[in-house]
Amino acid sequence: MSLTVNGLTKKYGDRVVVDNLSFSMNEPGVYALLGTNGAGKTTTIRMMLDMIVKDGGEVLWKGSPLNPIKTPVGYLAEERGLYPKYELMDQLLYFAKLKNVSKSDAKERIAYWSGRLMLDEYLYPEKTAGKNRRKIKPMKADQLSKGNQQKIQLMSALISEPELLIFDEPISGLDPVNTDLFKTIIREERDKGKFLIMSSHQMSTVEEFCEDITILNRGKAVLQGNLNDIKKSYGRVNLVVKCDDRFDDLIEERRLKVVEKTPDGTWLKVNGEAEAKEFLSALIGAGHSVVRYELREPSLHEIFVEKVGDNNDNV
Amino acid sequence: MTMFNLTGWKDIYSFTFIQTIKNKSFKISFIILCILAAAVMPCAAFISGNEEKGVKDTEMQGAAAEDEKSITEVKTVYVYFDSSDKALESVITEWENLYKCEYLHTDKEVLDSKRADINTDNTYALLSVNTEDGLYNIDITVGWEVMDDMGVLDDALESLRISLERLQLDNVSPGLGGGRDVEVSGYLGESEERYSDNFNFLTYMIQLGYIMILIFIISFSTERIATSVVTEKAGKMVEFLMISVRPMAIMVGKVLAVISTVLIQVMAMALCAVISSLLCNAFFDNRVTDYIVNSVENLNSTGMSFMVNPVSVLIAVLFVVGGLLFYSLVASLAGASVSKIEEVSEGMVIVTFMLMIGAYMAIGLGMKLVMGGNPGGAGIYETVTYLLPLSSPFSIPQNLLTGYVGYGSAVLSLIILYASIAVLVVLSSKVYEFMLFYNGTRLKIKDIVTIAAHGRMKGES
Repeated sequence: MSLTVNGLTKKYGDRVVVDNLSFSMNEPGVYALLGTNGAGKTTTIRMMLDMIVKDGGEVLWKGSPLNPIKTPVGYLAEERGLYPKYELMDQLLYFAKLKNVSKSDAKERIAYWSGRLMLDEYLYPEKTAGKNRRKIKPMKADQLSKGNQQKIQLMSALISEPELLIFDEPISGLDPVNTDLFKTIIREERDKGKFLIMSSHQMSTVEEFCEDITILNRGKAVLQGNLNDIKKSYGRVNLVVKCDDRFDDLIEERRLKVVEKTPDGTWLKVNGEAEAKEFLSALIGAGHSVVRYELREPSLHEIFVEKVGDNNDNV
Repeated sequence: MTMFNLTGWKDIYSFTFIQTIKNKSFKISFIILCILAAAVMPCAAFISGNEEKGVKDTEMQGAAAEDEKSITEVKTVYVYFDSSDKALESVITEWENLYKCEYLHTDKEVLDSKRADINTDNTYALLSVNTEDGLYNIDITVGWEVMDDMGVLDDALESLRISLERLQLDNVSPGLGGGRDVEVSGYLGESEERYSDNFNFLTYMIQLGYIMILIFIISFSTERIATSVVTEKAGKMVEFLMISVRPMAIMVGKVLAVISTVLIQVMAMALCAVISSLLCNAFFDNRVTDYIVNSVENLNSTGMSFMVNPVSVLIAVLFVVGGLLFYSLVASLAGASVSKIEEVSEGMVIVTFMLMIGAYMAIGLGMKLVMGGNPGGAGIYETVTYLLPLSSPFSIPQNLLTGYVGYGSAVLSLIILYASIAVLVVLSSKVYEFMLFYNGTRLKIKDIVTIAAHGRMKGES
């Protein structure tokens, strides 16, 4: 096993913030830590990175206790932080130096990631300055938008080319274009054989590239395992049907639960594939023209709400 | 978690140092303070020049109304000497190297006559040495119009006083038993007191000057450290840093970097003041610069028993460094105790309070000295001031170098200071990490103590 979290516990007085949490990653990939606000995700990450004292448990990386100072770990914190009044290039070189990356390597990697993340105009303003080159001053963090600051932070996390990446809410607050860019980079890192742990509230994103998940509720793991296996265990119970005409009478007749009605179709909850097939036969038999029929496993969002929704409102 | 792991402190140091130097506010304050330091001498010269000119003008106007007299130099010094002490006599005769001396011996009538005529004949001065109950009273009287020559007379009198003190200190003269005071006083014109015993005053000025400079350095450092810590904390940079370095390394790197920048600032200011002073001396005939230069030159011969050697200088430097470290550590904790940059001043209250206590204790000791106290004494106030880490950096170095504090007291005080720093480091290592992640109202001292003792705040454990 490459990454093992075993019995991680953190208490603040009587309140157990993280309760005996264990999970592991045997192979490179993306592991998701999910939970409501205050579920203990960030505390778990901070304990893993040795930032705060554990009240119990251990974190092993390749069989030895994880020491982020010795083992390069790429970390993207939930609350982004850059020195607002310092030059961006200085900050990146500083973060690289703290990770024992030589200045020449750091410059090379900054140039690469600057291109990938479309930050050249901020990191190399002289290149885009044209004739007014003399007037160009190095950019500082407070001159950047929030999204671009987030990109700089991502660069800082990746600059040491670490094998283990920990991203806390990596795409929150990004516009769709930058969200796609971040997703692409996460996929690339996964494909390079990196171990990536991420926490997120965006279930659709997690579903896109996470193989394994842990759902935390009030510090406890309420659901763990391979995402596909978890979904399979729920069975195909989500049916989306769209016809040219109304079919409400058939839904009422069979007493099916309507989850939602959208222009794309009516979302129904069925008890399994047999009931879904029977409903399709009934639709055709009644002369309805079926334009969409889709039987799906429950989404991660639904599973999440089911597991933690009873106790929390703010997902 | 290894709290004392200092790996990476050099990177923190170099980054903080360079960024502070590059910071616009630092550059502006650096330039302004250097300009101010450089402006002190010309301003003092200008003011003293104007005052002197004003006095002269007034005097000249007054004198012209009576008689048109020109400013003249002292040609002769009449010496009235009522002691039979040979050693003292030999000191008085040193004046013969400076002036043509005529001895009045013990003829008081001639002395009174000369004193009465001194404002009509300003070519002479009167030096009278009276002994009474073991007290030597030395008066010098000159006419109003010999103001121009007072600098020379001043030096001559100072030389006399030093010689007398040396006699007393060394017990060379059998007639001058130990413990008898030497009082030096002088008169300008019609009995206006001109001179007084400035021995203690000079010491006090040295003490006060040192204390003021140290307050400036420490205030500058602590403010910057606290601001830097809060900025990093409020801006959430610290969370990113902590995956590469431990909180103690952040603290050490930051504290040392800020202290370095402040020392550079102070050295630059000193350099500007010296250059400005030298330029003033070269281009203007100003008394302020001359006085300072002469004072510095004469420090060694003022009777203050200087104890300047490599060991005492090293101890003094260790006190200054220790004081900076002590207050800087407190400032970094104060910075970590608040969550927003607007709350820095609130957090700094405790640092300012401690600084004022320490500095005022040392100033109080200086005042005690000027009022005739014994700085090397073993009174409760002296002992507390010398040993308390808050005040020892302000009270020991200058008293050690001027010979008022022995090595024993200094070393004991130094041990206490550095032990306090060690305690602060241990305390910081326990609470700093917690405080860096803490967001909320300002942590109070009792909260910090609770965190140090239990690892968490009251109510959480």
